[in-house]
Order: sequence, then C-alpha cells, then structure tokens
Amino acid sequence: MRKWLAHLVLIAIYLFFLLPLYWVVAMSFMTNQQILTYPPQFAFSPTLANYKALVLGQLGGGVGTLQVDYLHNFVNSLIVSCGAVGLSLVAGIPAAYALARFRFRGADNWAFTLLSFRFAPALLILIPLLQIYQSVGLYNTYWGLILAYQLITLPFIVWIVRGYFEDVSPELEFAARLDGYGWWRSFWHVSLPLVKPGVAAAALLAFIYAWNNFIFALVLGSSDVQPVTVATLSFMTASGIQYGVIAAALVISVVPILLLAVYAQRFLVRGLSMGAIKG
Amino acid sequence: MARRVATTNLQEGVAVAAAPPTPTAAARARWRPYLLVAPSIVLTIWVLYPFAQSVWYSLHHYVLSQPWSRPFVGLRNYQKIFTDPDFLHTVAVTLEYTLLAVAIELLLGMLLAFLLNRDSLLTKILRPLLILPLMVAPAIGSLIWKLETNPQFGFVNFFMSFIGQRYFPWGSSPRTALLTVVLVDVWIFTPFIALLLLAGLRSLPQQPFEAARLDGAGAWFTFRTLTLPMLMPYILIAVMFRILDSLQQFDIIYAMTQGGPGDTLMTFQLRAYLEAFTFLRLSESAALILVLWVITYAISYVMVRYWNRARAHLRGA
Amino acid sequence: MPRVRLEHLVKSYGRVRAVDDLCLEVEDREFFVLYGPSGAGKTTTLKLIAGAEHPDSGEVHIGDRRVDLLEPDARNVAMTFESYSLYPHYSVYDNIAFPLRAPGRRMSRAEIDERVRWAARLLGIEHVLGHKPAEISQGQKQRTALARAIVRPADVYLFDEPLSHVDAKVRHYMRGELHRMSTMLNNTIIYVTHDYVEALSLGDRVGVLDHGRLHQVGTPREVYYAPRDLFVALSFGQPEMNILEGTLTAAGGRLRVETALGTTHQLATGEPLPTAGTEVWVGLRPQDLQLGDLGAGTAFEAEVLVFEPLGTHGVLRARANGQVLNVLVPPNASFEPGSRVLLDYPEDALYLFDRESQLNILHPRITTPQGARDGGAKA
Repeated sequence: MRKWLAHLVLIAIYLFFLLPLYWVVAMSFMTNQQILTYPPQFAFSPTLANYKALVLGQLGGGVGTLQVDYLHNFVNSLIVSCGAVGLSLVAGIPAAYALARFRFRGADNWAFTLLSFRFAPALLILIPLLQIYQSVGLYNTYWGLILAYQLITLPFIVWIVRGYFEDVSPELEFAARLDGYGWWRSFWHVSLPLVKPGVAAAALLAFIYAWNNFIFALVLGSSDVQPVTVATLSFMTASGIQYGVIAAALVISVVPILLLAVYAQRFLVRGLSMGAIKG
Repeated sequence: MARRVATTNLQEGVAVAAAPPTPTAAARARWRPYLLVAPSIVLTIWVLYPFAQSVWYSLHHYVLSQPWSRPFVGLRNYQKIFTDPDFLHTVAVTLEYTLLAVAIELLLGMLLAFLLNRDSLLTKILRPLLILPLMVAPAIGSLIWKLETNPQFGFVNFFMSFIGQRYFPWGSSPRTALLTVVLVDVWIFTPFIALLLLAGLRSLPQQPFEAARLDGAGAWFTFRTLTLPMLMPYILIAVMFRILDSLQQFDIIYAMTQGGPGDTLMTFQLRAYLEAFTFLRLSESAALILVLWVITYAISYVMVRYWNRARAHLRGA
Repeated sequence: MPRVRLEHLVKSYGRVRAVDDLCLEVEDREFFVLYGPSGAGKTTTLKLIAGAEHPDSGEVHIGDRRVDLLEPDARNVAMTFESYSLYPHYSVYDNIAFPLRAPGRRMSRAEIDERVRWAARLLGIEHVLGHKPAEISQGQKQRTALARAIVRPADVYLFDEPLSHVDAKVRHYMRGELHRMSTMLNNTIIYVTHDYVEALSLGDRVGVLDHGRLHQVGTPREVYYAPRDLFVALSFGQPEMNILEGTLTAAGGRLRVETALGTTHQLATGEPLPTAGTEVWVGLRPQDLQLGDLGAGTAFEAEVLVFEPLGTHGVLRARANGQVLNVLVPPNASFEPGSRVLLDYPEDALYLFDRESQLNILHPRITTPQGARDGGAKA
C-alpha cells in the first residue's frame, strides 16, 4: 500500500515538473488555431510552420509579414556564452592551480571575494558598469558582455577546478619536471589532463549559467547582442506574433541546455554546490 | 634562455655553468603563484571599480537627467530609504517571496529526495529527469508559465478549472501575482534542493540505520534523530543558496510582470532597476542595492564559513 | 672527483630541522645507501638533490656543476618515488617513454621505442607495456617506476625506498634484481631505505642518518663491525645489540671494565681511553653470545625468560644479574622458562660506548687492508 501511494505521489509531482515543458514543446508544433482551441487538445497533428518561420525570419501574421531575426539571437547566446566560458578557462584554470598548490598571501581572501560575486546582487555592478561601457564604447558589444559575464563564469571555474587540482599529487608534477619538462610543459602534459573531468564539469555549469543569464544582457546590451533570454521576452510582448511561434522560440532557447544537462548529469550535483558536495 | 636537458657528457655541464646567471629556481618558484593568478585578479579587480562607483552614487545626489549637478549628500539617501514607506513594502515583498519560495521548495524537495531514494524501475527513469526544470533560464521559465496560464487557452487554466478556477488571474491581479512568481520559482528550483538532498541521502552511512532498525526504532523517530541531523549540512547549504538567490530575484518577476501589477512585486532589485532606468535616480537605486548587498554578503559570509567546514567534513571524513 | 657533493645542507620545516648541516660526498659510479629510520631526513635529502625543495643554506654539486640553484629539469637527475608516481593517464609504455620525449632530447620514434623496450626487458615488464598503471600489480608498478628512471642517461639516480611497499617475498627477489640492474647501469646511485638488510646487501657505502645528521659513512662492514656510535650500532642487527651498563676501573696501572653482568675484562694498553671511574655502555651482539663456557673466565649464569624458534635460528631471552639479554641460538634447541643456562662471549666481541657522547670508545675492530676509509663522518 505504501509503495503504491509513494509511486502515485511521485508521478503526480513529476507531472507538475514535466508537463509545462512538454506542453510548450507541443505548442511549438501547433498552428495558432490549434492553440486557441479550448479545452486544449492533447492529440493533434503537428506542423513545422513555426520553426520554419523562425529560421527563415519571416512571420506571416494577420497583417503582412514581419521580419524577425531570432536565429541571430541564438547565435548571440552562443557567442557570448562560449566566449565567456573560454575566457574564464584561460584565466581561471591557472588561478585554480595556484590556489590548490600554493599558500600565498591573500589567497583565501581573494577566493572568497570571487565566490561572493556569485551571491551578490547583479545591479550593484551592472548600473555603474553601464555608465562605464557607454563612455568606453563597450555597450551593446560582444566583448562587453563577455567581460561582464566573468562575474558569473569565473567563480565556477576557479572553485570547481581547484578542488580537482587538490586531488592531483604534486609529486606527479615533480616527476615530470625531473623527466626533463619545464614547469609549463609538465603542467600541460600531466596536471591538466588529470583535471579534465573537473574542467568539463566547471565549463558545463558556467556555460549553463551564462546561457541562462538575463539581467546582464538586459542592462548591458541591446538588439545587436541580445541573447535568447532577453530576445524572447521582447518577442513575447511584441504585437502580431503568433503563440505557436513564441512557443517555438521558447523551445529553441532551452533545447541546447536541456540536451547538455541530460548528457552531463553526473557532473552537475558536484558543480551545483560549488564543490561542497561530491556528486 | 636555452635550457637544454643535459646529457651525461659533463663537458656540456661546464658550458651551462659558465652561461650568464639566470633567475634561480627558488626565486622563480616564489613568484609563480602570483603570476598564475594575475589574469583572474585583473578580471576581478576591474569589477571593484563599478562597486566603488555604486558606493559613490549612493553618497551623492545623482539624477541621470541632471548629470551636471552631483552634490555630496552623505547618508541622506539611506535615510530617505529607511523612512520611505515604499521601502518597507519592498522589504515585505522580498521577505514574503523568499520565505514562501524557500519553504515550499524545501518541503517539496525533501519529499522528492526521500521518494527518489528508493530504487525501483520508476525512480530509475525519473531520477535523470529531475534536473530539467532547473536547467531552464528563470526568465524563460517565467515566460513559459506566462504562456501556459493565458486566460484564453492556457493548459494550466484547464487544470485549474477542475477546482473551479478557470479564470484564475495569475500575474495580472495583485492578490495572486506573488503566488504566480513563487510558483515559477518553485517549479525551477525545487529540483536543486531535491538533487542536493538526494546526494546527501545516498552518501549517508548505512550502519546507524541498521542499528536503529534492529533496536526497533520507528520511522518517524529514525527520521527525527538520525536522518535529519545527518542531512543538516546538505539542507543548510541548499537553503542558504536559495535564500541568497531569492532575496535578489529579478529575472522571474521581471519576465512575468516587470514588478507589477502596480508595485505588488517590487523586490529589492526590481525596485532598484525601476529607480535607475525609469526614474533615472541613480543614487536611490545604488543605496537600495547596497543595502541588499550588505544583507547578502553577511549571509554568504556565514554560509562560506560553515560550508568550508562542511566541505572538509564531507570530503575527507 | 665525487659525483655528488652536499655541503652544509640545511633544511627546516617550521621548527623541525629535517636536514641539519649535512655534508656528504658520493663517489662516481658508487652505489650509496642512505639509511635511517622514518623522519631521519632521507627523503628530504633526496628532494634537495633532485630539486623538489630548495635548501635554506648549503650547496648541492653534481659533477662540477652547482645545481641547488637550478630547476629540476636542468639537473639531469633521475628519481623513483616511494609511491611510484606513475602518470595515471598514460600507459606503461608512455610512462617509460615520457622522459625520452622531453623537449630538448631529440630522439626519433624508433630510438625511443628501442630504449623503452630495453628498459622494459631489463625489468621484466614487457608484457604490460600496453596497460595503464591502475591495471597492473604493485610489483609491476615499482618496476615501471624503475624503468622510467633508468631509460635515459642521468648524472645520478635516486631511489626513494623502492622496496618498502613490496611483499617480503618479492623484496628478496627484487634486491637481487636491483643489484643486477645497478651493475648494468654502471652509474652513480643514491638509494634510500629504512631496511638495514637492503642497506648492508646493496650498498658500496652506507650513510647512517638520523634527525638530519649523518652519524657515520662507511662500507657495510665498517658500519656493522665498527659502528661510530650507539645509534649506528643499534641500527643494524635483528635483534638489536644488547646494551648493558658498565664501569671503567683501574687495577695495577691498567684499565678494566666491569660489566653489569658481573664479568670483568682487562683492556689492552696503547688505547687512548677515558679515565677510570667512568660509566660506559657495554654492547654485545646477540650472535656473539654463546651457550657454554669458553674458558676465559667470563662465563655467567642466566635465567631463561622466553625462547622463540624462528626457523633458521632461535632467539633466547634471558636475564642475568637483572639485565635482560637476547641471544642467538640454534633453532632446534629447547629451553624451559625459568631454567638456568650458562652464557659466554669472546672478549673481542665487546663494544664500549661513552655514556655521554655515545661514541664508540674502542678502536675499530676491523681494518680493511685496501685503503681503510675512516669510519667517521664529516660533521
């Protein structure tokens, strides 16, 4: 009796979590007519019209065609997220190594400061940063966003990869030195390969948070660099856009991350708690 | 500087010894850590300047429409905030949001964690799916719910009709707006707590529970005296993460109602956003944000202290 | 000239002096064993030579180069580690080949392959070349570490307790292998161990280290038969040398030593000795004590406490005059606890140590005909 009840409750809860996702995907394959029918039909014949419209950039609405460049926003998300994570990897991995290996002045203080960025209100930095960007010409640019995103992505890389470096024995690096490799080469051939899983986990998480970011792009960018998160909002409030197309836009904006998440499940728990908990 | 790997021909060694002096290995080793962190430090330092700017704004009277006049006013902005009834409203909304969201997420998350901890065909299928809502961008999640609670065709409304609430106003009514955004928050972030607690449950040692069972302890007793205390580190970490996030929540509310209807959902960051971008009152905005920052900094300081201990405990012991 | 020279090396960790004013010369192509208990500073010394640590003061010379200022990759030193430190992400083959692929060593693929296979063959691990370290046994890991060290030419080879994690049975076999390998290498080796059997059987010379200081450097015979002080004497031998109290007295112009066993000996003249009335430590090796009377008037009675038959020999623990002694006896003897036995020892088996300085007072008991090397260390 207990088991049966437990299963029932579990399924009920999961319906709450999964139905909304299922439904938005379903809506993206419906015509406007099908969407507007109430009660909602769970069985329907799907259409690709919405996706076609988004990809081609032309929406045939009731009032002529509308030029829409959602794909451009998707590419923006890609550029900014990959760029931010890439920069964080280049700067963060050596720093993670230094924190793991050396005891130097200000190490813990700086590490905590970096972490505190993760928990600080974004507008604290964003509003003055906007003023600076406008005067320096970084407003509405890719680099502007990539640099700003470091507040999000860098802490992940440093904190998670540091934990992995701590698990690598320094003796291994020394063995490589004795074998004739300079410091940098021994780092590259021995230390780095051994933290690959950590780097992957950190990069994955950083990418997810970068992709999902909203407020940074809202404040520091405009139509040129808007990622999908911000673009979808304006999409939704714009007039004349069909609901099916909106649904398709929503799906496109989450699909990459959902796929990544399913693929890389095991890294996520450790990363979510910033290394506090071993997944 | 050519540093060849020497061979057994010690004559070459002589040549090396005669070469111009290079920085010693010891000296280089001393400077290495600083060199390694330099790029990251640069990236973090440049953030401090905007932070200082915010502080400066909050201590002056800076309205964007009158950029020429920026007199120093000391703590007056802070005074204004604390005596402003709207501020109290902001605090109230933020606290309500946080308490409601975190409480529901904790309870639901714990329930999920316990249910998923048993091994069965169902749980094996469901476990990997748990993470999906968490991966959705909060702003997007809000929009998904907005779309699906559309009074005309929303399928959520369809389910609501079963309890006679076909036209539940969701985000458009001041009475229900908070519930709506909390709902989105719960939808996205409950898996976070559930996953953390599940990881915690799975890492608990088996012996104490076996011993309790042998001693005939009941389920509730075991839960209260064994499970709960042992799960505490995980619970606290998860809860602190969520509290910090909820206090600063922006994306979900902005995407849903931009803070409305009226100012029903004006949490700290939303209010600050409004002050800065609609009213161009940069000083008030900055002061507001700094107050929020102090609160979150204090909480995160406590959390990191606790969590460093937890980290060592959970990793090593 | 010496291949490795350590001059007044000092290294501290916090308040602990791991290496305390260490001076040592290791000759070219010598198999030198650094022997001492855990914490003696042996591994630290190796690290200083290899470059893992920098000395607080002092110098390290290899050949005619001063290396303590150089990076580890410039010192031309090969080393094996107690925990092997094999690269987990490389196969055994790649582990061994790694040093040969270092920048600056321009070797072709074929040359590298030849050297790797040579080393693997020498150490009997050709059949695991394709495996990763996680997949092979402890003994094979150890031999892989050795192969990686010897595969390339180096000025000095450092081995840090290579046999300490190996089974006792395999250890005996590996000692023979190491001996064979060192002959083939024909190069300078510094070998660190806390096992005295390895030290005595493998080394050309042994350096006895404790608390960062060298007590003695000498051939295995010298450190065994002519220990410089009490510590060295106790370091070699299982069971340890028996140490008893004794006093020096004068009788008829000659010095005598009275042991706590109640026996007395006249000491030969011509020795520079401390004054009469001095308290000393008397040392007797368990294998020098014998059952029965040797007829020199030094026999004494003892009460049997415990007898342990150990296969090749037996250890008898007996008490005489309140002193507990270990005696090596034939394994097939039998003793009743509580019974009394007669024990004796040859006079030249006696060791005397100064109570204060713990130095060996009597002259070295052996003289090596071919270029006697002093039993004392530079200190």
